[in-house]
Amino acid sequence: MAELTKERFKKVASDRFDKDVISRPTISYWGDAWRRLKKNPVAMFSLGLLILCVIMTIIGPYIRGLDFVTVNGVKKNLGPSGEFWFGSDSLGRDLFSRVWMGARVSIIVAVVCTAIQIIVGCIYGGIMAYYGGIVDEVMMRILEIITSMPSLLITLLVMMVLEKSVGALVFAMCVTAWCTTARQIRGQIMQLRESEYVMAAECLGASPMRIIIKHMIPNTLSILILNVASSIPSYIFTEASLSFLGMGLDSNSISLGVLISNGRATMDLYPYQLFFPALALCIIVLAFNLLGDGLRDALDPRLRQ
Amino acid sequence: MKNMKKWLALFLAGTLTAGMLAGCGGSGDSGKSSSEGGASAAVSAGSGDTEEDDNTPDSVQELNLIFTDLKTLDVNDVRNSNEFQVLSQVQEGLFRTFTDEDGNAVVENAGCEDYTVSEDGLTYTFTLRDHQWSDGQPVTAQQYVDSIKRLLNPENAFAYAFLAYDIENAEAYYDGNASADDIGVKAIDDKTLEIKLQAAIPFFVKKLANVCFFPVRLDVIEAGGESFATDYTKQVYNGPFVIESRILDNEMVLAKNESYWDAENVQLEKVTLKVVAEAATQSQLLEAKEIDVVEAKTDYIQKWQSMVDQGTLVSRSVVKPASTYMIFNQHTGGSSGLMNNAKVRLAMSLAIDREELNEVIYSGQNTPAYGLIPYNMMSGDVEFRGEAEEPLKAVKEEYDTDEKLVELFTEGVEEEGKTLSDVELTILSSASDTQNESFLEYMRQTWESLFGVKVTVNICPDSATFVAERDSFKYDTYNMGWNGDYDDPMTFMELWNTESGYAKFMGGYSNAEFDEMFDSLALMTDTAERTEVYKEMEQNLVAENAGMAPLYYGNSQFFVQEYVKNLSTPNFGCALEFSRAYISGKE
Amino acid sequence: MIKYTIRRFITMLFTLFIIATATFFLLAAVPGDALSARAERLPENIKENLYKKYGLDKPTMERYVITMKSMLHGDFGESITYEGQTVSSIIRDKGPVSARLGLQQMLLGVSVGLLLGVLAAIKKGTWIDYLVVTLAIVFISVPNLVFGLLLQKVFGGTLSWFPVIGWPQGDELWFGGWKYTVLPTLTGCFVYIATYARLLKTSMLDVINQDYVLTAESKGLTRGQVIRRHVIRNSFIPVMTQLPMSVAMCITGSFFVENIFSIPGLGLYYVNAVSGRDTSIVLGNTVIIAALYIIVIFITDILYTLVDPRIRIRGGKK
Repeated sequence: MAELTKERFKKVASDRFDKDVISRPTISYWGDAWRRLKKNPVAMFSLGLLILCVIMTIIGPYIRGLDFVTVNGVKKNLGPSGEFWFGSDSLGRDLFSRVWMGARVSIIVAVVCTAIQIIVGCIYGGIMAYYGGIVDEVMMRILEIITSMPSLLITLLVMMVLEKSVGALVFAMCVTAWCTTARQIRGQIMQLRESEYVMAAECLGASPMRIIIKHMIPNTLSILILNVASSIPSYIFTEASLSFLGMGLDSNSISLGVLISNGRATMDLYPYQLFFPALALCIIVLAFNLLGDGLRDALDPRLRQ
Repeated sequence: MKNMKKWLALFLAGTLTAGMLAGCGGSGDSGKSSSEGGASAAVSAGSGDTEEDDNTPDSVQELNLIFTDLKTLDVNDVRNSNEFQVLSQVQEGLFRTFTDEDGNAVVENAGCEDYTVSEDGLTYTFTLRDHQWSDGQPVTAQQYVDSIKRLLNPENAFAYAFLAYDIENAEAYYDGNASADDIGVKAIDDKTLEIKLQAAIPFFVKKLANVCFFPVRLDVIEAGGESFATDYTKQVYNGPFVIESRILDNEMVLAKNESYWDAENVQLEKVTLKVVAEAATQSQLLEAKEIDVVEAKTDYIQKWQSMVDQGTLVSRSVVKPASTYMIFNQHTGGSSGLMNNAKVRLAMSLAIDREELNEVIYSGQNTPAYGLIPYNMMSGDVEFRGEAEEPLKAVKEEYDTDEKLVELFTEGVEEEGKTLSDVELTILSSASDTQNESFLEYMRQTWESLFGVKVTVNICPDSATFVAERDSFKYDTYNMGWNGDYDDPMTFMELWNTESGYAKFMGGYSNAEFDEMFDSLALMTDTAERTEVYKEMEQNLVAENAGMAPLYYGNSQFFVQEYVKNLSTPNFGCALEFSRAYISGKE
Repeated sequence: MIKYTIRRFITMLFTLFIIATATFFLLAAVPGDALSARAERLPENIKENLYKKYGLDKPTMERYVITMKSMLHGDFGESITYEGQTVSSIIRDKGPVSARLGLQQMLLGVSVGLLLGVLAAIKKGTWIDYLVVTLAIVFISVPNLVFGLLLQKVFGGTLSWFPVIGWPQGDELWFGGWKYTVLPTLTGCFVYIATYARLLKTSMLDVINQDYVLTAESKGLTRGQVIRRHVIRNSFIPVMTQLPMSVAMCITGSFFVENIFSIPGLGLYYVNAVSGRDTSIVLGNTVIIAALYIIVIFITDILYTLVDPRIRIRGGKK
């Protein structure tokens, strides 16, 4: 057998910190989320679809180069054709351009509303659940007053008081919606608050703000993302409903709600006037929903691999 | 194509005019010719029978209609067409109007058997028919007297109180300058009613056909208490039908009134009226034969017309005594400060292509208007529009190019000390259905592109907001329609008099010459003379001062299931007179 | 517990008072009033008399005091739109209709939704999961009104399986007349299906990843036992927070469904009352809906403690 000589041994550097060196590259929370999202084909597909939709809302109205505002009595109610890809509306205007113009307004309104709802709802719900006791009690009463009033009533009244405009619409739709988010966040955090790691953080002297931001919010993200995914379509629908009631945007504005509302009266006669705006709405909503689903899986820390 | 439709409309208007002459012309003169009207209706019903032998009534006599629910069941308190529709079928006044096969009006005596007018045209004496209410009480002359006094009681604030102002001391009583006993109406005996007028009005009897003059039972009203006006169980009826059941804002069922004096001529056993909001749903129901009559919705005309061609529907056109126009804010000059300038108003009025508007927005359903008074309106014995050329047509020929219009507009703007580039016009509107929004968009683009000024449209979500905006004068112009209340141009002319209670809604038009002509009518009984004055007034309002801009005269088109026979569509009062209708051949 | 209930009751009265006040002044701030539509075309002197008749000529504060006083006596006042109609008569006539419609939609929607949610969570990653998620998303992506009109056209019009419009009345108000209720119920239930399927799926997946589930599995419980004993129970908490909202939603009545199918319900009437500025009716309805809602929330809080033993009722004995 081979002889064991001293030369055959080599001294390996043995730093005592070596054990703690992380051999794999560090992946941040967000990096990991992105990596997992990329692996989800449905989510990537919907992300692509959404990007396409957004691009279309920017350039779509101008692709055909047709005037989609001026009334043209001669060409009214024409079916889809080479000239009008989606047909023309009851005033002879190109529906293709109008659909993308409408999608632009609807998406902007929905996204702004959702952002306001989530931000206000999180702050309110977080404070309420974290402090508990008298703070929770008082804030809950306020919430109760707002949520106990039928939201449609408040929205209608606000729209009646304010002049018709996009700003008024956003305000009227947000004025009650954040309550739902606040309530859900409170429910979720009430659960989390009892959990051990929050207790541990408290023992280590973390400030309340730090606990809310570092521990509670990330842990409620899945609920929030679900919230975003369902809020965006619901805002698009609320906008449409208000148009049906004559309380939405006025006739000078183009939105998916206005287009669908106009199309539904004549769906027996010119189904495409309802079909195309409704289809655009479905696709946008579908894309948001599927992406939301994918994001939820990707962001959930408990599903981290 | 466009011309075809126009000719058709003119032709239609022409035939209906002739009908009015034959059917309605007599009623103003004496009771005798009015009963002749009754005879002609009998003839027309007979001719219907000989035409088709299979017109035998079905065993099931039920009619299904759509409606908007009534806000009140009180005849004195009628406000809108839906109330006229139902109340005229469950209650009865002095006359009832039918239409014959050709759509010509036939006025028949109902509550009255006969009437006479004194030499001076001031005293009307009605002999009432011997008939009764659904609770068995007789209908008496005193009930008519009670009705008129109740209508005029200022505490009740009834919308149509002004219709009775022709009666002696009526207006004075409403304003608190006379007592109820001074009103010129009295019951000579149970069956004789006498009405004295303030001044001889040739068309007074036409006004009396209005639902607000129907007899009332004070004992029933008192017993009914607070909910009398909405609770159908607290009503008594003297018309062809009674209300059998009602679900507020949803459904009303009428049943035949067995104690009606002419019950043998009422064949329908049940009439169901439903609230159906969506146009698409109405169309579904029409196809499924679940509703029998529907008023044309622009978008659906073509579809329903094809059903007419297949023979499942029958189309009925009615030339309504309705006029739609743009109001200009002459109270304050409007938010642009330009509306007190007649040149600006005229230029705006002439800028509208009324033919195109009617085709594009209303699918050619209405008649383009170049005047205020609609077709088919009688002034005495003549059809007014047949006598008077529409005033705006001549002016339009004068300003026949866009350049001339722009020049006129600019001139007006400069007279008001403004510059064209700073002008901003505001159109106010209340109803927000698609058609109206399309109309507003059309108007906005018309003015914006021709004059190069900014035009904003302010659509109020509901009429309450609209009224608030209007009453604070935050507008330059808005569109409004008016339905004539009785068959005389006066029903439109009186709106524009400075003293009129309506002046406020008509943009505050105020013109000394117009008022002078209006006042001169008060003592004028000769109808030919009146027609001449009406012509000049219309010229003054529409052309010389452009106090408003006419848009179109409204026509109604009804689509009726072919199995509904003998349905009347009078152009005043109710839209549908179905007391003699019957069902034949519905399976 | 009793002390807690009493306290909640007192705060409820206070809440209702604030709601009534807020609604009243919001309505007063809105341009126009209950009579403006009616007086739109009335001559000035008739208009004045009309306002006098209904007491709307008085200043806002005076009307507020009058309204609040009569409200204390349980009298919300009369409708101006429909003379002689009161809040109680309208709730009596129209409440049951909306309640049945709403409850039917909710029961069907929530039960199907929860079932699908459980299915999707258990079969996560399989085609069943994808199918459920996609269906839920597709249904939530079609506006209610469009969906209702489509159902009406296909099943009411073309196929004639169900009546196009209408709602059971009289003896059939609560039970019977089912053929009328099929289409309206279907139209409204998809919102619930979509909401609850997604909600339960999310929440179940959260719970499945919890440590106590792992513990239970390592103890040797079968998958069925784990799901039944641990997962379902704990994942119902978000569902419980959502349920009262749904109940409130279904009681308010669904304007669009009632509008399409001509159903004499509260939702339609309420919206009309708002745009008609019928203050007493709007006020009365709002307060009653709010009261119902608060009671439902209270019941939810009690349910919370039953479902999740970690949450105790606050304000009671510690």
